[in-house]
Amino acid sequence: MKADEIVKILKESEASFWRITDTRTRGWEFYFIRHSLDQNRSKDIENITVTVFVKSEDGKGMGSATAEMGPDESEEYVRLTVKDLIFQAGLVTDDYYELKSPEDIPAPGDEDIDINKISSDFINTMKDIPETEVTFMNSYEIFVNSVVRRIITSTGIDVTEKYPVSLLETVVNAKDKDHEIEFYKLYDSGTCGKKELQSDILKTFKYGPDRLKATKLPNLGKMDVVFSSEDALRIYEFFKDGLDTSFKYMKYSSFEKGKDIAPESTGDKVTLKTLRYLEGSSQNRITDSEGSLIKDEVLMEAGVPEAFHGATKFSYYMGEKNTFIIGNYEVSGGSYTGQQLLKGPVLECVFFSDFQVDTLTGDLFGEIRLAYLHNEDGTVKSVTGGSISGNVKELMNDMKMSTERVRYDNALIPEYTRLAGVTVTGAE
Amino acid sequence: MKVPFSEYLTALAPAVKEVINDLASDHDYVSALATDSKGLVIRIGSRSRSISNKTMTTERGVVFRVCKDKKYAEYAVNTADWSDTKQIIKNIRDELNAQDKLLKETKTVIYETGALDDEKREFFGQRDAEILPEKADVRALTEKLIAVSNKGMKAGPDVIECIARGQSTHISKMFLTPESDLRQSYVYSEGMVAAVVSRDGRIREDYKSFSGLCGPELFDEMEGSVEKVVSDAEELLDAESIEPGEYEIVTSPEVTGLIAHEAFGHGVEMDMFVKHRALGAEYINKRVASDQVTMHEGANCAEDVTSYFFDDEGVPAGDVTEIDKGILRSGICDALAAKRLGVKPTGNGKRENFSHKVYTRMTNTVFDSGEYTKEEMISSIKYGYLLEGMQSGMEDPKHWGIQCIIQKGREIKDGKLTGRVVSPVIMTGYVPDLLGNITMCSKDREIFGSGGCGKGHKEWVKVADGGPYLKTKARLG
Repeated sequence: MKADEIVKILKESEASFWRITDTRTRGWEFYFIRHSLDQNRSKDIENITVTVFVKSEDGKGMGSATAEMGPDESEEYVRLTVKDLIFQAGLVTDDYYELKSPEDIPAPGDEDIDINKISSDFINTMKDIPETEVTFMNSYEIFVNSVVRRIITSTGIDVTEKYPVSLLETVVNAKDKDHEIEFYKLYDSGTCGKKELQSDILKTFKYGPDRLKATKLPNLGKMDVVFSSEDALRIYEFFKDGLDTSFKYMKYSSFEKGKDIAPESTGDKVTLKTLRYLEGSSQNRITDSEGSLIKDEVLMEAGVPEAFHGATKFSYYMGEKNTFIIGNYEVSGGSYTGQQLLKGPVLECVFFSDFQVDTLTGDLFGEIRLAYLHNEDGTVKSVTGGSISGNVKELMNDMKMSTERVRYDNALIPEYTRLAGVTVTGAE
Repeated sequence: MKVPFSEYLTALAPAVKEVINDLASDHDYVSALATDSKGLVIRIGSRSRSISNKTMTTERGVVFRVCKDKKYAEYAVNTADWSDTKQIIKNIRDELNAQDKLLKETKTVIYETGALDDEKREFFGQRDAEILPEKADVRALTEKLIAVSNKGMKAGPDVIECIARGQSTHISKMFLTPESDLRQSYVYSEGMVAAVVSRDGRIREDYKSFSGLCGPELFDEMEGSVEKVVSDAEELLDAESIEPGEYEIVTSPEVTGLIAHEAFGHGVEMDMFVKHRALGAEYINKRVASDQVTMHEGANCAEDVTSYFFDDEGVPAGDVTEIDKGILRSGICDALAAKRLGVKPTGNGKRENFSHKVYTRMTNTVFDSGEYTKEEMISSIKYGYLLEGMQSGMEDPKHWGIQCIIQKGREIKDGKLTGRVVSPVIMTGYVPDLLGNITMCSKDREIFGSGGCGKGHKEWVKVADGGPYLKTKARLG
């Protein structure tokens, strides 16, 4: 059934409120082994998600249930599903909240998204990567999607947006006579940003010979660590999640409006702002996944929360009724240059197996695939193996950020982030 | 009862076959995978609850795979009007021709691969389940999970949230070629009880997961675990940081499973052999572990969330002995990678869903049991840790590095647990060292299927892994 036909069924139903998200994705994919085509794929997919909200009899509670369905479900199936959803929503009643009403939404762009052209740009970009005998592309996968998303709600929201979403997976290898290593990376974007992509892949190429000659990371105890790659995003996500109304409502976040999150801090303090548009991002939308208008808004200024963001339900509970789910965001630069932050002794981590920050507990950890040990005398040595660990809640008290910034898909963050007193476990 | 096969797919089969037969007129190989899988998810917290029909593997759609002139291509669709197969055929041809045009314009070289075999085969497989997710008594299941969550909230002074989540998926898949018609249906379910605790600004979380090749009847097992989950979480509030170093360790079955998955799960996925991304290719029939170690992989080697009859390429489920008494014997392989390598596929070709590509993927990855008890293993350690609970893992198949994030370590001193707990624990090292140092395996074993597995950082599929308690040495930080 088409979304408009489902709307009719919902209007006739006993649902208190409802929301439909209809997403149509046309995609092209190209998979390469070295530079030879493994296979090509095409897809035409539509997913319709229906959420039904049921207000409790006393008006103090609200429950919701959600069903995803394909576009070829019969009218009978949809009617039965809606009936089931109304029953199920009544079983899971939470505190009452209200859905958003339509806002003054700017007209979305209606330009056609040419997946042929974007695919061509990616293929040619990858063919133009200058390889060497030591460092080369092992394989890569290109995903290009044109997405049309329509959100309709019982409260009057009806917004359709069209946007490109692309993904490039790369595996860069480097080898000498003794062994061979690889670097795995994913690049999310809207369209193909050739210059940025090639620049980042060539940066990875530079890491190849360094990892081949890297020695095992020694036991260093606690020391300063600089994050100068996409892994730094994980650190800033701790602050972003702490500003999420669901985290606040669930008592997972101790952030409070107007209260410095790290009053003892001797380093730079985080200023975090949401952005509706960020050049090159895969998340450029006018509205979030619930149809709420995305705005440019400062959430945290110099370590002091000013506003929380998040889904309608939790934002209503927390009294943040005009907010939305974050797409793009930026973190202001700090007060140091990158060069200052790399002054030794410091361990600059550029590649992890899988660097993670648990935004609930603040724990951070990651096995190092390549790091540079900057010594006090200015010498630099490449190291591999071992791991780092610590807790952002403690480490943010001495966090320094560079004035230079860099974009990773939907986030613009300081290019260099330095944390003091991180535990470094060696591999020797 | 036998799990019923999708009526939707049964009705769709003639139209899909019509498309296949048309494409077969000018292609060297054609197949289609059609899916229709329904689910139920109930998530109960003290402050937020929800019900949904979407699990990780619910889907409905068809993907066609074709090979022509040694080049493979696919077209995935769920928007088609199946009463108009001529239009569907036209759409497929138009799309793939447009892609071919682009490939010519960009002078793209093809990785040539011969056509897959298409033998005459018919199969219809159904597993058993007591309850189907789409027919379940949702009220009774919800009340059951509310009782679990409520019990958890009262189980300790520091609990700020107790989440009970149950989910179940009814899988129906149909694999068709000009010569074969394979159909299967089964139900798998998962559950989780998680407790979040907080004291003096410190927050910790612990959980226990459940999984099985069965219906939502699995949710009955959850209530009995609540007190232990809460006490385990509260224990973490007092946990200390570990002093980095190399230690003797005993891994619990959950951590053993994580090691199996990361070490010689990803490390022997043979599509990585095709790309020369796996060191394992050079170690077939060579020692990679101690003689205590035997490891199996396959949908047939255990009954859990991914124990299907055939994979997403129509290859029957297998049971591969990957490591036999420390010697690496075999990897696992999807059909296309097998064709390229000149070996037989092992039934490990899996897609995230119908709209995603097939890769070589794990199913059940399990260490064999040994001859010791857990107590004997602990008592053999002078100083070390019993490692429990897994958070995540990552492998480096080209260099055999491994990263395992583990929930906690229980200190062992002079063969006894001291009661001291460290958390979290990051275990890193070189896989042959980690497996080469295994000196004891316990008699019992457990398998866990509540998690998902990515290829790199995408393409999420269901997997299960596990094994016995293992004693080895590892670097912890």
